[in-house]
Amino acid sequence: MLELSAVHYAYPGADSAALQNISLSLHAGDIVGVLGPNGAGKTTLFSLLSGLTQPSQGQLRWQHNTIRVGLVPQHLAFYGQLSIAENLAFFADIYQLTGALRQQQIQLVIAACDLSSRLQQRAATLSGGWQRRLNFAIGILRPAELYLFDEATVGVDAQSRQQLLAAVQQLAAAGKTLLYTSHYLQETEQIANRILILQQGKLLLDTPLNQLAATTRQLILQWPEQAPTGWASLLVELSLTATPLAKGELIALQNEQQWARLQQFIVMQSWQPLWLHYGPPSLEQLYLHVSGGQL
Amino acid sequence: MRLWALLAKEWRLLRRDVHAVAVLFLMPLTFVLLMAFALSDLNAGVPAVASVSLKQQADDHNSRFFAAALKQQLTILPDNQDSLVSVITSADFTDLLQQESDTPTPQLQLLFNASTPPVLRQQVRSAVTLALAQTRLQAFLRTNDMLSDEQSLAEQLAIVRQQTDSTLDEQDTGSQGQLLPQANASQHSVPAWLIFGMFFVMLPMANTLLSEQQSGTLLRLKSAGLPPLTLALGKCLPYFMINLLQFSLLVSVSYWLLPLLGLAPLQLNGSPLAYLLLACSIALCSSSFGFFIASLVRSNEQALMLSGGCNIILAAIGGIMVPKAVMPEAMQQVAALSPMSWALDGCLALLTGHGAITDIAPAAVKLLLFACVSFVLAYFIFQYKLSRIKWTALY
Repeated sequence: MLELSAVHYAYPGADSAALQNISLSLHAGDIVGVLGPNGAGKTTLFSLLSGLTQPSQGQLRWQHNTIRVGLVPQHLAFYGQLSIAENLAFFADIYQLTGALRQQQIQLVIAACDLSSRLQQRAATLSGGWQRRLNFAIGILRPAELYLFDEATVGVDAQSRQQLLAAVQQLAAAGKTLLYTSHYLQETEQIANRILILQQGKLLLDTPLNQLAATTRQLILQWPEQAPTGWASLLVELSLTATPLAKGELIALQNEQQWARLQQFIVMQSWQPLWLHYGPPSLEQLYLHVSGGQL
Repeated sequence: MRLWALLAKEWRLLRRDVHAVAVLFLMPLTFVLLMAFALSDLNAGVPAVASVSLKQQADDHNSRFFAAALKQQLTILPDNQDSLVSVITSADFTDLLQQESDTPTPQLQLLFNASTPPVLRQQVRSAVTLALAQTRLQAFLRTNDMLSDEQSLAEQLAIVRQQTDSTLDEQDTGSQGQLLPQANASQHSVPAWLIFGMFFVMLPMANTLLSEQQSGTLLRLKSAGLPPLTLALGKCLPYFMINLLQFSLLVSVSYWLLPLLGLAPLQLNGSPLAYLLLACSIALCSSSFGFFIASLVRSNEQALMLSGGCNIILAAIGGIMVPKAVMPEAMQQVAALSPMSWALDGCLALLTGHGAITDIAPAAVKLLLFACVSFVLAYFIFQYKLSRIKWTALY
């Protein structure tokens, strides 16, 4: 539904580009966890996707001519002097919701974010967690094709967080596309079905997380300079694919026999890998390795 | 519907902002009441009588007559009571009074405390000059046997006053030359502070727009596809209406409340349609200028400094704090650049000049032109800011 082709963006006067040659496709039902250290380009990517900025080069192509985007920014983007109900009613008007759809959407987000007990309370007087829930509710109030969540659950208690994550999954189940950034990698791992890792404006990894989860084991390793002779042909023989990472490569294994053959090959080499991890897939390990240890 | 939602939201936010309500309504109301009290004697017909102390170093007939003549106009305080003004006559008062020389010596000395206001100084000067003239006339009449020494001082003074007192027929005229009743103090003081208060919308306008930028609500509004013009109107129109409300409230208070406090009521002379046109012109001017200031500022400190500073400077040069009539000519030309001055001219044309729409048209046209220029400039700056909004909402 949304295609980014060789998208490039540089801020005026900046030495380097905030995004470089980003190409990816986003589909209905995707929950895409966007990971990367500060300055990796996540914010710029969200700005482009929300239509706030236009790419310097490359193209963003939507399946439809127009696309509606629901935003849950990191900032508490609502009016503190208005109550929860008034904020929801105001943004419902701004999103041009009318009639039954308006009532339905408002009731939906009130239930999804568990706001019903404090509807008449002014937003400025709510606790931090409640304010996050209201911020979240306003973002998903808009019927949209694409939703962007930026640290949407910071400061929310564990129980409420699960409720918000459930709301995110419901949106995906309804065929919406979601991009999600969070410093809680476990949270991203819980809901995302696809991971993008950005670093210094480049897309380091774009991989389906469920595919990783479905595999029993994964091998991440980094050879000192280049892979030894025979390594590539062994992978072909075992019907394995190596996904290149910033440092090394990632290989998803389907059975123990494959791991035994690879292990046998590795121990016979005169030089050993600089780094090797074999085990169940872990987003945190994957992320740390791909990004070179930067959080 | 979206514009209406923006208007309703702004109205709700304002209603709940105690500081904004204080700045927009309580402060101008307080100003109007205080200034109405302070200037209540202006044009009252009987000016306050100044008090002076009189120190005479001679006790001859002329000195006593001068004291009696001066007492007709000023309050003479007892010797032991302090006064801002002292009138001192010399021992040779009579000789100096009658001297005829090309280089006349002063007949008396006036000592003003340095803090004495110019109006009081002028009142004392006039009174002393008249008393001196009456004393000189009295001396002339006595020399020519037209006054007798057998007559008492009071009788002599009464005869002299018949010769010197004047009755003036003082009338106010309108723009068409028609005679008008003299305007009371409220007609002069209320409009100045009403205009001053209306221009204070700059501060809450700047603060609310800044708050929307910083919180990210403007990001949400932009991403919802709201056109910049709708956003701009959503900011200006509520304050335009607030301005009209301020105008109505302060005029109503001045009309109904001032007489209950024993002050001269505001008399709503002139055409009602002209009031409507003038109120709308001032409101458009102040709300557009407020939007211009709001679009410029990038922090709350800037908002406070720029809006407060602009308001006070425009008021100072526009004849709000000091009447233009008492300004030097160069300052009067500078005053003509202030929209507050145009607004005040329009108000006075109605309140004191009993004017019609044609009388306020020049002021209204200037105000509306200023509103257009301010809005267009502000709109371009606002559009530029909107275009620079990023996901983080910080820019």
